[in-house]
Amino acid sequence: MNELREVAVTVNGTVYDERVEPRLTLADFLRHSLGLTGTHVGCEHGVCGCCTVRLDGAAVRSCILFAVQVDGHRIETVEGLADGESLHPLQEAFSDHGALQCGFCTPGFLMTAIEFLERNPEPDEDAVRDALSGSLCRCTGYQSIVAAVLDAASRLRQGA
Amino acid sequence: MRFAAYDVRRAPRHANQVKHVPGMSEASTPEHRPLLTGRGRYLDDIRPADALHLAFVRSPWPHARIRNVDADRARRAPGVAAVVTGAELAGTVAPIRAEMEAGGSARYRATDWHPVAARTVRYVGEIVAVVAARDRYMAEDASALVDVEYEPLPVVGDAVSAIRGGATQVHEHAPDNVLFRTEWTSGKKDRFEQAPIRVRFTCRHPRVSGMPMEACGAVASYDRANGTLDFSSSTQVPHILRDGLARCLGISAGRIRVAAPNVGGGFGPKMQLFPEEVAAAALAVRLGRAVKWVQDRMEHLQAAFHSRDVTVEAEAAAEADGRIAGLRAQSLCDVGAYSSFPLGCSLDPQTAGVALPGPYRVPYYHYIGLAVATHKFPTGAYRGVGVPLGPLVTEELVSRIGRAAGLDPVEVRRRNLLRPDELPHESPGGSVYDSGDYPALLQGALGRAPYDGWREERRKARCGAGNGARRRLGIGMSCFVEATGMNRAVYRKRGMAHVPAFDSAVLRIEPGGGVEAFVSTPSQGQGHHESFRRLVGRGLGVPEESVRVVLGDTAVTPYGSGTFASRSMVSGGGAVLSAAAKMKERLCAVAAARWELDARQVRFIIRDGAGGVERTDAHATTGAGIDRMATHGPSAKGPAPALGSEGAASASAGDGSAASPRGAAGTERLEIAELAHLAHTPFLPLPAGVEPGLEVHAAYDPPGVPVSCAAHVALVEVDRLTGGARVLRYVVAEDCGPIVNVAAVDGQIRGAVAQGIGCALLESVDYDEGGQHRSATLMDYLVPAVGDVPDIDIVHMETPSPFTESGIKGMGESGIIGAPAAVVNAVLDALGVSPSGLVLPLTPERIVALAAAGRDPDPTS
Repeated sequence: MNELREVAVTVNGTVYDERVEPRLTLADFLRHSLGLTGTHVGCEHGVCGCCTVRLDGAAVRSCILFAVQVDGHRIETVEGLADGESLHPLQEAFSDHGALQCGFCTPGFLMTAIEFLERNPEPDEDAVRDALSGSLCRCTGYQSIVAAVLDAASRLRQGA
Repeated sequence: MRFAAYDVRRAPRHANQVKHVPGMSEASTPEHRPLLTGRGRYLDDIRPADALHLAFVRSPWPHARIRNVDADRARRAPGVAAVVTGAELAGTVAPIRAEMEAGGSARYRATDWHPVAARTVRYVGEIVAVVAARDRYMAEDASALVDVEYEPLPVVGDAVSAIRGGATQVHEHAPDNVLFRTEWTSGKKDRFEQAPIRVRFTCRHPRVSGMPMEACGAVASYDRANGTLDFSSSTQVPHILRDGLARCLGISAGRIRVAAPNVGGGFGPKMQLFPEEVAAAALAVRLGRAVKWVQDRMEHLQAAFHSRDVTVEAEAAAEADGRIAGLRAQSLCDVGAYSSFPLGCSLDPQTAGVALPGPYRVPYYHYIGLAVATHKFPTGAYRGVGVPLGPLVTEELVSRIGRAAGLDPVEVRRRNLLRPDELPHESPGGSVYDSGDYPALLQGALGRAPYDGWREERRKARCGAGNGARRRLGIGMSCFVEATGMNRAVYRKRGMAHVPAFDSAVLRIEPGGGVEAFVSTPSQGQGHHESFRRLVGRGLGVPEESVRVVLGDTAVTPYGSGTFASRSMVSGGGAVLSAAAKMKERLCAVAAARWELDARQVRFIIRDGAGGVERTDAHATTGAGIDRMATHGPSAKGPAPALGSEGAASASAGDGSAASPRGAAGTERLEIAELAHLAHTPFLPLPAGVEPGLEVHAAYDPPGVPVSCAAHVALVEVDRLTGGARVLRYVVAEDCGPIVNVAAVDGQIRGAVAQGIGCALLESVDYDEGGQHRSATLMDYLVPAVGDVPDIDIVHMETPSPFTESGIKGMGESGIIGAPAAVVNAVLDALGVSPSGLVLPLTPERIVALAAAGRDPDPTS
């Protein structure tokens, strides 16, 4: 069970080659093996959405995936969203709308929303609420998050 | 106490107004940047090299004697450094024990809660052994190998059976299982007994939990050479936690440093001392290695502080015209197996009792509050504590009085709400309501709704074709008050011995002119950095971006209570303003030394937003707009409190209407940057009694308790067939005095209303009758998701509290206090039912059952 396995994975454009236990979750792999602590673990059972990352573009929950499952795949985390010091328009919109308080759920919301906006560049509010319905925030009451995602859609359309 | 000029009018007043200019938004704050880019530093991001990870062996029994703990197999497991049992720890670690000085008729029994149980377990999840291993995976593996032999004992599963004669005792020294009892009476009973209208209502608020998205945790390391413990925790109360650890470990508090990193939400649970924290600290000392505990969600649901679990049984009487004649109520609070530290188990019975009379004229009040021990996890604070029980019960009683008197729900409230000319008013609950316009708040909320439009929608839903049998709309309303930033007098009256009930701030101006502010009330996401920066920036007349705010580290932040009970802006903010006033005196003293004048011949003045000291002797030009508060007694500008009146004075100075120009630089005015240099250079001789440098400390006990107030109205849709309930629209009208940061206030309200909707419709920590915990996942304990919370419209009023210098009232809890009542009220309105008793949350099953009861006449009125 504890025999180490080879995992080669591209995270935010960087290739990592690591030897891991088969039972190591993707979230723990990102956080503890690679030191990418922007991905947060909120429930460890796939409900809260805090740990959402992108696997070959799709938003997935890294707490209920094993690191060995992403061997040969591409992962994007919140750390890869900004371009150097320049925030992604979605991050800017979150900042301007106060779409975060404690910030713990934020990386999960960002990674969920960015995937959604790529597929739906002109969403209405219902579509945004539907897309975010699998992520929990305990601080904001969601209104500012929904507003930020709608605003980000408009910024992205304008090529902000 | 003298305070800074501060212009409250600079903040935009409309709640939904957010400017969409990058970097310019009212809501944006520099503290968000690391959190948006994955560079936050939360508890689990602290990774000391070579740390041991803890896993806890927990009792599967709600009540059992521990016969034997065999840890041999676990100790031999891979990666394990130590397994420690309760018996091994008992000699070196004192139990968690919350003391009280119960006064008057109140009676209290403290409990001893051993961080690791040695002989008896009293709830499912109680710790019986601790495993420390190289990583969490190994620690959990080994924890499964600890063999514990239990002898199960009879269980007390709920508060009602706990106080029944002959019930099993949770504690030997509490034969009736009552850990706290209080009884208050106010006013004369005659009117209550003779009044023609009598209504009753019983409501059970579920056991809920704050459920921050980041669970709890701690990292402890002990320096044996120096005898110091470094302790990081996801805590709201670094100093109280430090005091608690010191008591349990027998280490002087001065040898313990508690630091809170980014904290992923608090809401109350993170203000209690966790047995895991004591165990982690004890293991760090014992093993001489860094020790780390990161609570997972399952542990959090089982063994992070639960709250409420309160049943209130109440009866109100009213005159024929709907005026309340009196209120009689009893609360039964299931506080679980132990009285938690620091607040103790009197928290809910005391605060529910304070809240029940609400913003109404209640000439007679009789209240009994009981805290009862059961075999469940102990309760602690969660935003609002017992206060939501007030509106939950009283709003329904008032609606029933209205129906009995033939009055519209709005009219019956209007007749009973205290008017502004009746304030200050000593409530029979014990609070003194200071200021505000309760009828105007209700009117403001109804106007924004708009109420007439909602009534029309409700009527259409009742007669609607097609879905007429199923879909119903209901309108709920909730009027309430909240005592905030409670001072030493309140905690003295409550008898809570472990809450210092004051807060402190240190302000330091560096030689280069930059300002540092160290405040004892840390942030868990409420935006304290931004708000304190504004208070300092506007108070001293320095650019806000030059102010660095440091919170949550006992090594550098001054002593204080921490963040809970809506106290940060009142108490922490009060300390900041008090320190700013002292700083201005220091700046004046330095300027006076420079000019070789008496300190009374100089004044601190803010011009164009920039603070400086000007000479007022014959040599200088004098002018209007001078901030007399800096060096002399209270302002002569009128009776209004500091924040409002001086804000206006400062603004007029800032507008350039003050007479004195900056002219003759260096001779008549010294800017803060110049004074900062002078205060730190050896070349300026200072008279005796003037300290060099610019560092001041202020400890602040609010001189009175500001009481914020609000009215909520909710439009809720109920499906009579499926029992589904959805909040369609929601309006809050609130008055928290002068607003420092409107984005932060709105964020607090919206988040708290969402939690209140959760209490009304979704959330419940469940135990079965045998004491088994059943809410092990977030699929069992339902936190409101984005589809459960509507947009929340907010109307602000700003009536400064006359009780404090700033006039600021706290508001962090307000939303969750009003929302359960408004939502429940609306559901009952939609169904047209008045049940004699109600158990929350209103799950689909319960709503279907209520709907089946149909349009029964109110059996109690």
